[in-house]
Amino acid sequence: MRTASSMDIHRVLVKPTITEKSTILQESGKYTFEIAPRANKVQVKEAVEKNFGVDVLDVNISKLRGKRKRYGPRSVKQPDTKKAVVTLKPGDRINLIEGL
Amino acid sequence: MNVTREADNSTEVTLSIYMDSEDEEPFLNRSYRRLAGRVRIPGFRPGKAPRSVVENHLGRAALVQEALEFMIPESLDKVLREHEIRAFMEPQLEVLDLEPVSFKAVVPLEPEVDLGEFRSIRLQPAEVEIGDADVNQVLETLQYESAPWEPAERPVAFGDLVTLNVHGTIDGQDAINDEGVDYIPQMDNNLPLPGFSVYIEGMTEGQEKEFTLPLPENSAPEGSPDKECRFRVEVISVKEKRLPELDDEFAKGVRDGFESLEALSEHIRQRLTEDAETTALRELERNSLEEVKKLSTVQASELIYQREMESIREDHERTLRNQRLDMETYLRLTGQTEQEWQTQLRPQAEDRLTTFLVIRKLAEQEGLEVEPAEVEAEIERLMENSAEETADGLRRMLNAEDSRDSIRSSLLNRKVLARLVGIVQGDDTEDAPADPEPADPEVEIEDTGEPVSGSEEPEDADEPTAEAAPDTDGETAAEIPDASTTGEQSNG
Repeated sequence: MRTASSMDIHRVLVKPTITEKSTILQESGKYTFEIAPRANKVQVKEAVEKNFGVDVLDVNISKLRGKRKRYGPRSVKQPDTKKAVVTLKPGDRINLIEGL
Repeated sequence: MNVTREADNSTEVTLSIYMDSEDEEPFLNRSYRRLAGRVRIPGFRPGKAPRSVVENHLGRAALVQEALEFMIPESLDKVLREHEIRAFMEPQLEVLDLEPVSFKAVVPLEPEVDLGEFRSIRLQPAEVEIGDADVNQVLETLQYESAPWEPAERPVAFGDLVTLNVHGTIDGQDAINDEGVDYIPQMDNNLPLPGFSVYIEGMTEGQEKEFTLPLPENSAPEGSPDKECRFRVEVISVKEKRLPELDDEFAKGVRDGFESLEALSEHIRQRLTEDAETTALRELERNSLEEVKKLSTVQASELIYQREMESIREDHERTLRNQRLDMETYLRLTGQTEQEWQTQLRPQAEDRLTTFLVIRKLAEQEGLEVEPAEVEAEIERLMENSAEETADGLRRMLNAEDSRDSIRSSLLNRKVLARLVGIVQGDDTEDAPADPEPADPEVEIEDTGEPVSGSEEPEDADEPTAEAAPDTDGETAAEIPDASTTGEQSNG
């Protein structure tokens, strides 16, 4: 196996991020996903290619730190997440609305 | 778009319209734009989500539902234009299916009106004759109303104004306990109970009297076996009218003053004649129209009748609501069932429609129209009587599209009726004589909530009535009502 780690490829991508910004990015072939916090670019590339049958040119990842929220006296940190913006080969498409 | 035209008859057309997804698309897009602003989707500011996201979020059905509101009328419009169908009123719609959208529309066509030989109708207005008796009656009313109440040193007679303390008991219970009420005993005054007046007659100032009157059938409160009311009455004061002499002096005091009694009589006679002529003219108009209606045949779609019945029903319910009643209570009070009431609506609806259609057809055949300038003039005329403070608001109200329409149609009605009156009197070419009383009660601006003629007869409020007599200081009671008012009363 040429997998970079032993992580199950079906667990790499958590869900597509559907927001105003992400829908605008889609027009230039960039698809945004929330990914597992431990996943890396290589795994994301592999997961997207296998799942959707497209060619991935580039993967950019950013960590989203969870917000601190207060519930009364307690201060709670929401979980950190990881986001990947995947650039596809021009012409390739993913229908995110139909889901993963 | 696939259109089938079924069951044609001369008064209506039934269309079934099946939309293709191609036809639907522009409507769905509009519907998306309308919905987008209202729906909150996480990740998007309201109105910023693309159609695919909104459609996914709400489902396509929601888009279709929203689109129906304009998709159906607009597509129908298009179809009607393509098929050159002219609808007489709103078609009746029925949605058959949503995916893809298809619907059925029953389109009522312009009813066919045949006026028949209406030109052969011959009618004459009723003869108007105002006799001395009519004039005298008005004079007497004026005389009576101009006389002040003056204290009378004699027993009470019918027609006097008496001030009373009244204490009435039914079955030992207080029923009436009034001090210092004004009362005018009269043969036909049945208040508070029939016969009360008779007991009052002949009493003198300061006198007390006790008597018993039977209660009318069914009006006794429950559990009172003797059905009688015991009255104890004390007369505080007696006042009478001292009628002024009917002479030139009297005539000078009436309204702006008349030179002599003769002039006043002449004026009254003139007013009465005018009123009677107007009434006769109205009568003639109504009769002529009835005749035309009898001669004409109308073929209209059933749908139109149904609509008319609905609108009558709505009018009726509105009237009831104004009296704080509802349909159920009304039916119970009149002892009708819903169905009985509905059946008697039918002839009413037919009559209203026939009237409307016949007048319309007459206007068309006679080439009568109302110019916008005439509507302007009518608005100005209606404005004349209004007080200055309210003028602006009233003008704005009258200028609204609705009221302009209703003014236009009432002007047209008037023209048609005038022409009709001309025709039935054998005068085919010229316009009928001008309306002597242009304040036509048919001017339909009832929606305005404020009667246009409201400033005309405020004196009415001061007129004495049987139970509540006016101030007795001899001043306000001397006010003289407009001679025209009095004339109308004696006429009716």
